[in-house]
Amino acid sequence: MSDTAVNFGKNAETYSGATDFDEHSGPLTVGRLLGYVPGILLLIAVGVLGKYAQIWWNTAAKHQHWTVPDIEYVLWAILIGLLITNTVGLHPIFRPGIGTYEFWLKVGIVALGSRFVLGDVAKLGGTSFIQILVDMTVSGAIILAVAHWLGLSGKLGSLLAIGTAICGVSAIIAGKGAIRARNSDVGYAIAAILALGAVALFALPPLGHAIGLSDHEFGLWAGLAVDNTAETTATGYLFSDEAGKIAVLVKSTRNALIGFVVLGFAAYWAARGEAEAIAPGLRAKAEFVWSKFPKFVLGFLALSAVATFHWLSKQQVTNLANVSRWAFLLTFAGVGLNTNIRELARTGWRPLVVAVVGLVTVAVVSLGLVLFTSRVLHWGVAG
Amino acid sequence: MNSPNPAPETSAARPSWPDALGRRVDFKIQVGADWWSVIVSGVVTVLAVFDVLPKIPW
Repeated sequence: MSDTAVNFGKNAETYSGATDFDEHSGPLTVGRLLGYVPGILLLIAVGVLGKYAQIWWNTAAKHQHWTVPDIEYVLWAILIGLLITNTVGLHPIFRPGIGTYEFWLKVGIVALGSRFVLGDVAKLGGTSFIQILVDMTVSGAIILAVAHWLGLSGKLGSLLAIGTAICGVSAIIAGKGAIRARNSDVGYAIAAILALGAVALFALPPLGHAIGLSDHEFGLWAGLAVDNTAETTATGYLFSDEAGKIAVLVKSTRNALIGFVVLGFAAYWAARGEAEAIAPGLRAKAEFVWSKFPKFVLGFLALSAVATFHWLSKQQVTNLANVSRWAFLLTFAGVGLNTNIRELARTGWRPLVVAVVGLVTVAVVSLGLVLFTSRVLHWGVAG
Repeated sequence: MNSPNPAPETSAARPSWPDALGRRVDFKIQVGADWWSVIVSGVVTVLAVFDVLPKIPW
């Protein structure tokens, strides 16, 4: 057991000053496992409260004949979490367990694999892959230009481009070691990405309804435009269940590219003499890409294969879908509990401006791509 | 005051490519949240395949 290290939820405390973003936190002992319990119980409590808040809200509105919007459990869980963190605050005893929300997110994504057949995964993954490449290139270039124009350090600009174009916090963490970025730059970039994730979460679903996007189109848009996987999932599910499914699949395709993008930035900074020289050899590069590859994507594909070969009864497919929903519920509670508005405000305006430009750029470019490919080219799986 | 001479720079002292990119290479089994999520979901899936996963309400 001593040879086994575990690293649950990496970004729980990152923007509040922790520096060891990507280090494994030591062996998994009974003591450490017990340390997770209070926070996990809080995630469950907030999640369940969010779920029942939706029921109570709708029942009250029906009885009182109010005309109010149907607020989804996703939003309730996030709002309750936000309220706790930003009013009474969180006792340190809850922090380790709350940090596990990324773990629950990945469990939810793997279990969601049971709701896709491999053919749909290949079709949607393939079409979104082209959209991701276009989106990444255009928005990455604009973010780098704006960061340069605002006088941010080149490495902070690179981190913001990596985080915005690919995969938010995980990509920034992956990029940190590769380009030898300073911890302060990493903190700025993560805070900016998380702040913008929160903005996207609340802005995109109403915008999607206003524009008249279908579930399929909105799922694609959320998967392409929102930076952090937890926020992407929440944004998709805030629109609809179907949109959430598609957003998760598109985002997982984006996540799978982390290694390649980080490798590109590492090569750039090494060529400038500001990161360690790159060793030659395809094998070493392949090893690096594999080390950054999100392994839960393999779990998702494996479960899709199980569903494709009809190894699951209808009841068990429903059970796995519900495992996914519960895991996502804990994730949404964690998103709220981990968003400290005061901490984010301390980031300073420059990285936030770059991130805002990044979000707007990615949102506009990806919306254009989604509308063009779905309404003009008629790509994709029917939603 | 004598200070020790710095070690000569040899090719052996240079970091390997994965090390240079911030990846500590050792022979420990590093199990991160990614793999744990696959393991936990894998166990749940095996139970579902053998139809012994109890009904999970939503």
